[in-house]
Amino acid sequence: MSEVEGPVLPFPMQVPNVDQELTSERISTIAQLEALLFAAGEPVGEVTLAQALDREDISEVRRCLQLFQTDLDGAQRGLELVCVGTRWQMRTRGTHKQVVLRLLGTKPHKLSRASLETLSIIAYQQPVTRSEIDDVRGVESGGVVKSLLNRNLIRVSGRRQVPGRPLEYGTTKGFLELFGLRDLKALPTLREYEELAMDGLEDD
Amino acid sequence: MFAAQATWTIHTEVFEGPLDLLLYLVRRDSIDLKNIQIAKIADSYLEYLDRMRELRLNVASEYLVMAATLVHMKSLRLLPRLPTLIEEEDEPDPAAALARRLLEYQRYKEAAMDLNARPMKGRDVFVREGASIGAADREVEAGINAFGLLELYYELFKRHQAGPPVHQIGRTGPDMEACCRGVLAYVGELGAPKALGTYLRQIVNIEERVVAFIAVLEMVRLRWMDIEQKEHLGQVLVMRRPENAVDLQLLTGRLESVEPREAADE
Repeated sequence: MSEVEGPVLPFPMQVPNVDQELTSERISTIAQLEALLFAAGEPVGEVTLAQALDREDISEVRRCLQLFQTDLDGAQRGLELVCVGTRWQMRTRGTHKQVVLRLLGTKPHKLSRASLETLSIIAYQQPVTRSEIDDVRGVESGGVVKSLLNRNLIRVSGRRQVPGRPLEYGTTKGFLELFGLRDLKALPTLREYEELAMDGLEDD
Repeated sequence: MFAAQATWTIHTEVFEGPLDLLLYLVRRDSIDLKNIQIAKIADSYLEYLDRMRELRLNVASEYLVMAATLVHMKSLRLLPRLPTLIEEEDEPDPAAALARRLLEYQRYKEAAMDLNARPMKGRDVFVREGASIGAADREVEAGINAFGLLELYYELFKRHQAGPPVHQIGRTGPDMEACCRGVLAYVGELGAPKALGTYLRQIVNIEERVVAFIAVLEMVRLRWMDIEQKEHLGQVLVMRRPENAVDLQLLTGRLESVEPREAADE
């Protein structure tokens, strides 16, 4: 049972009759896309992919990518195609994380609770100043902000036009990549609270 | 680390800050945030801090700030409510403000948990570090060659040798005697009151302005001038006392020897 959510598709879509859509031409395009995405490693935009394929029809490239994505999902493959920040990337599936970690020999990249809280405040409220972050968390967040900047998860997006002209922060593409988000709209909506949620009790 | 009643219940709670601790206490004691009982929550919070200190855990300053805030709020509740004479707008209820803060903090705490639950790159899912794509490696057609750059370099540094090094003229301090004379000339010999501000404002150099101001104060002290202000926030007027002669040497001498610390014998 995978705790990973289903693939994040750029458009809400059902894919009926996939086989009918897989013309031999498309199959070969898909193979090329597979090669490209593997070689790139980092997320690649549709336009860049189309250019590499020397094709002009972006929507056709997109359709192939979607078909490829569905194909990977259906066939119990170890990889999945994810759309992050409107670009496409091949990733291993969460179900295989144990073996991959064993191979890589690295410790899994975890984020501290302070980092996660700060990140979520910035993600939902951007642009936001450091003192606004401090107010929500009730603690000084300067160190956390600095470390998030170093990890390229947030960036300085401007200055607030008030006395003191404090810096404003926003999230980066790196942030979207880290969490596999298509874009900021894909962030789950903040839950409204009238009462304190009692069912979150075992979190800590 | 928290000890409950008689039994030792060790929770390994690590709190991110006072709000986090308050959320925990509110849940633990089932405090209703709508009718928040400040006294109760303040007591629970302070009790927790005491235990932390008993266990020699360092209590960060933010926790103490919150403790002070809660105690303050508690003390406000103890004061009798006087009927207000003036119609005031609804005073912000600190308890409600605290409740709002806690709820807002919880929203982001939950959001953080939700984010953490997603498959994270580097923790659950992995990518290849691939070759970098794009124009970075393409050869750049330079419109210039090495000799052209060399020419530019020589030209730049030739220009710098054109003139002798610039001579820096230092600033001399304000001429004290001139400042004093200026003030005296303005005030005149007859004793008619003159506005001090008007005179000082037209002095451009700030150091001279300061010297003039101090000169006036000294002269008042030596009883060569009087200073007055007829109404609150009104003009400051100075006037000469003709019966006392001005000794300019004495004045400039005093100004030069004025030590800032002289004012300490108040």
